[in-house]
Amino acid sequence: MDRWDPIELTSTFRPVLEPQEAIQTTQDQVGLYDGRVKAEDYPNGTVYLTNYRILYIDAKDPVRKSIGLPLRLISGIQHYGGFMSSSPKITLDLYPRSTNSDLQSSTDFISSHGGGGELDPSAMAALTLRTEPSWVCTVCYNSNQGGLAKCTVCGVRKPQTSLETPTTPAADPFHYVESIPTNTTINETSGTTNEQPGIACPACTFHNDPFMIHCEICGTQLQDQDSMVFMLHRQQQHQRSISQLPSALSQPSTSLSTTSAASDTTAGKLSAPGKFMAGMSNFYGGSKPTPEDANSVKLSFRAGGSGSFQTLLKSAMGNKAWKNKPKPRPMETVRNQSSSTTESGSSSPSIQVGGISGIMRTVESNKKVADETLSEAFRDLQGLMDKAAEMVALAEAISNRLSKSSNVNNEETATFKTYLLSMGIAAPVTKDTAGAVFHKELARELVEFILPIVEREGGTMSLMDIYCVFNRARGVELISPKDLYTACELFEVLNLPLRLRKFDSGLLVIQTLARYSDDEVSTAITTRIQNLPPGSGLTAVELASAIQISVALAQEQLLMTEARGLICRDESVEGLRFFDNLFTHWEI
Amino acid sequence: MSQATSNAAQGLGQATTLASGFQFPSIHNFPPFYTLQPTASTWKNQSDLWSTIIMRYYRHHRLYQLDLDDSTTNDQLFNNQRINRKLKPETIQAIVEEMVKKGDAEWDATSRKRRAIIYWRRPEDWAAMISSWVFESGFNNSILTYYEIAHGENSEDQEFYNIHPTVLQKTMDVLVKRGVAATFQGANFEEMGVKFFNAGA
Repeated sequence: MDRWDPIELTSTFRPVLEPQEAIQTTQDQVGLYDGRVKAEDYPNGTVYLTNYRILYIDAKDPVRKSIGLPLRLISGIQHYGGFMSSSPKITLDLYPRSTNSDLQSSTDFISSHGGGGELDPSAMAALTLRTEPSWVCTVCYNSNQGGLAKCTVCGVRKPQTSLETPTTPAADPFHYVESIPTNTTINETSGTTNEQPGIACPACTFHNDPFMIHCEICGTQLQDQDSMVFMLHRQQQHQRSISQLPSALSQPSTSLSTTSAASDTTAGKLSAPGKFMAGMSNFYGGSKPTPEDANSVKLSFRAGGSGSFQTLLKSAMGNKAWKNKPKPRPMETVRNQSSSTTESGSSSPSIQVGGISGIMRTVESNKKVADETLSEAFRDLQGLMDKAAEMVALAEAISNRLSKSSNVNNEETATFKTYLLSMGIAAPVTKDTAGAVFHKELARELVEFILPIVEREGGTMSLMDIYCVFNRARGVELISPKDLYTACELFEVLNLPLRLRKFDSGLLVIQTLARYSDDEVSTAITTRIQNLPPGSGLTAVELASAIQISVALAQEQLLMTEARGLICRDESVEGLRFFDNLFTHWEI
Repeated sequence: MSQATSNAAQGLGQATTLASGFQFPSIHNFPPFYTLQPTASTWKNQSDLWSTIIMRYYRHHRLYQLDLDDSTTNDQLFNNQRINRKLKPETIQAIVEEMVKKGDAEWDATSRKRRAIIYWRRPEDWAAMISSWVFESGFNNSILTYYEIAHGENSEDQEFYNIHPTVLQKTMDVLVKRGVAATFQGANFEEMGVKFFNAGA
């Protein structure tokens, strides 16, 4: 289970997806197995398959027991059809720990970050061959490989204390934690490499240069891959700190040894060791499951659906969408490249210009890109569907910009914002992606989307209005009224903060849970009517336009208030008007 | 008479006074007063108000019978031209129905709920009034016709002068039941006779 990471959830307990991440399918009533043993903490939940991850959200305790497993850790899939009372299961074989997720992600990050090239892949491969330092048998003194539990010669078990034997000080991971950062930091700040004792070989105790990977004497691996991860991490921190500096200060950095002291102290020392420590204690802390169990996870499909899940999982793994993940902070990368090209002397005059004109040019080019996206998106429907995510992102960006600029006409801004608000559901829940739990997922998505709108509308909206707004935001994946109705009926079961309500007349509305009770509405309406000019009544249309609700809803609210005996009606050729209930206290 | 609880009450304006001297309460100018209120509690208050106004109006004008098909009699009562509202016959019927329930009115059995007698005095009250008039006038132990009671010279200044025949019959029924009087069949209604016995005899 230690491969799974906690995931972020929305307010309605749906997973927060990364950019470009899309849900492929959803299945409820799935239990997790850790190897062959049932995982006690994850007995029953909803499993989401996205193009990057498998996500498990617990049915009972979604806040604490929701975890995700990146697909790239999966090496193979086995399907078990189920027999008698045994549910169908999918076994996910994971890559062994050696291709650790941390390492993988850090290499991914570096290669995608644009500042890569420090380590060639073959060196990384060599690093990953062995994960633990070798140990010396207490009986025959044979030097065994770290991964072995028993001595290859005499078969005696690996001593528990071997990690602390003074002969292999560097093999102690906790020692590493302390020694590596100081070593490297001092090394880098001093700018030379010869004054330091370096790393003691775990096998022959020879003090090697801190940047050696293998012992110069005996060839034993010096730094386990986790410490290499640490090094890489530092390197990456360093890169970032450089990129954050003004371009005049930044210097091209292509290797580990030629790092500038200033940037190192700003970022490298501060955050990396803590993170590293946490990673290490995670890695070594607690009891380790046997390799077999650690490297497989089972999903038990108690409500079926394993077949289609497996098919989609296979295709998702085949697509390897995570390899095309959008690069983090692409703008910065561009700037990095531009600054480096500038320094290296190559000509790119469009970006080379600094100052205000440079900024203006950047703004202009951004605008041009946005325009192109727009025209491309609206060329035909297919194009619009393909570009939907980008359009939503663009709308959000504009919305953000509007909220920042305060001097724009407020009313216009508000109007425009409402347009944007009604535009954006980037990855709508569909029957294809949600399958058996479609209506539940739809209900959750609906609440996420509609809650701010309902609150803005005064706590109540007719189902018809919601249908229009919701489908407009979905754009292409339209839902039927029946689906919407079914989803709304699930609000109570799913404990969501909205309720479907049927008025006596049959009008269906969505209301926020507690904030706008009938009491408040009827009191407000009565007060409004009492404060009308003498001798005049209130019609549903007048009320609707006064408090910005639909006429049908205004009518309902008036009727509800009337039914409470607070107001009375006047039916005439002019229509239905409501007056203060004078009958109640009138005495003649 | 009225509480100006809200702007709506203030907007009702001055109470209408008819040429006959009858003054309507200002609620008579309240537009919703002419719509049958669907809310039960409101309707109860509304029908109570209406029945009070109807009884006052009928007493003031010495009217006894309410006819849904005869709009001229009650034109001023149910039709408020000032605010351009009037009660629908169904609503009047519903109001009378409420009055019947309380004993303030009675449907004419042959009219299929189109005509009703409004009891702005109950037959019991009429009975007490007539019998006391009889004893005070010394008509006990002698026979009076219905005509003499309703239209006779002796009863001209009495409240029951021109009393509706049906009301008179009901009143006499009450008296007969109490053993105070006995009725005698006549050729027609007005020739019906009644004899009052000595009180306590």
